[in-house]
Amino acid sequence: MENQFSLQGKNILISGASSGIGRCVAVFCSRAGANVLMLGRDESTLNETLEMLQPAHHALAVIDLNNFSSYTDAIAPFVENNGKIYGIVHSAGLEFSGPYNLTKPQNFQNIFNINAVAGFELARIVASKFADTETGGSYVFISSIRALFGVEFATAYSASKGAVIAASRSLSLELAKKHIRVNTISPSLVLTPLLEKYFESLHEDTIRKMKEQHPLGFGMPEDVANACIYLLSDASRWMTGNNIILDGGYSVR
Amino acid sequence: MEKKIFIEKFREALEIKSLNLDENTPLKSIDGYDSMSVMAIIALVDELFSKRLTAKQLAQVSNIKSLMELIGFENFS
Repeated sequence: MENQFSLQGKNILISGASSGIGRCVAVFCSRAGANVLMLGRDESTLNETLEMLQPAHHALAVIDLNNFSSYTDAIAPFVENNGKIYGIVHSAGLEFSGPYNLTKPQNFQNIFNINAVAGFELARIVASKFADTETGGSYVFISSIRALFGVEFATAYSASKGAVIAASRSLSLELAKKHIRVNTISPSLVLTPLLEKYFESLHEDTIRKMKEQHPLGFGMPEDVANACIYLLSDASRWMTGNNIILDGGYSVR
Repeated sequence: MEKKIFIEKFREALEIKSLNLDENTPLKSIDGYDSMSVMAIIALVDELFSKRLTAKQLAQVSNIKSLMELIGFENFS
């Protein structure tokens, strides 16, 4: 029987592949048979990820995702060597924790640029220049449970992740004509370097309470990567404009 | 940064209404001081000094003076 979860020979672009969820998604995509193009700022950590991948026609491009005008040149060489891009996983993300009275327009702009605008600019460029309209494609944007459930000190972060879900729903309608599906994933707390940094600002009792709110405990990057493989693959061919909540039971109560 | 300006920014960040706030005021005596206040202080120091403190470090801080010591007295005048 054909493996519906295979990404054999498909070209997948992943942002934020230098650590955490993005790195794990890159590894899982390579195991599923994909050629991976990784975008990120830190060449050494991207190279670390590259060494973890199953051998194929992978590449990395070192760019600052705030520099939107650099995207086309970063993607073009990979397309010349491997063909059109099938999938995108926008995993690059910024975290900002602060009370509302310290959350200024610049904080919103910084976090929106990376968490939301960068992903949609990647989608715009790939869909208009580098997509195969015959085979279609699948774009996945990593949102957050914070887009759906409020928590103190996360106004800017929650807003940026909410924008990801809202924009994806509209984009999915436009890209359906090109047979490109668009979906989002909203994970709750996943044990990544970003989360560990956040935990440093919290009292141990607060972390314990947060863990108690998750009946299945905190998530692992692998949990999100598995959902990405599903959304990228033909197994989800009838799914678009949707959001998968991955939260270990956090939102059940 | 001048100490008095830092104290005012501290007051604003924690929304402290009491007039009696100086560098020797015990943090735990501030009305409403809790774990959220700790996160607010971390965000404030990060914004003003690009220095990321941890909750463990702040647990050792008793007042604004010891907070300034943790940030580094060389940053204040």
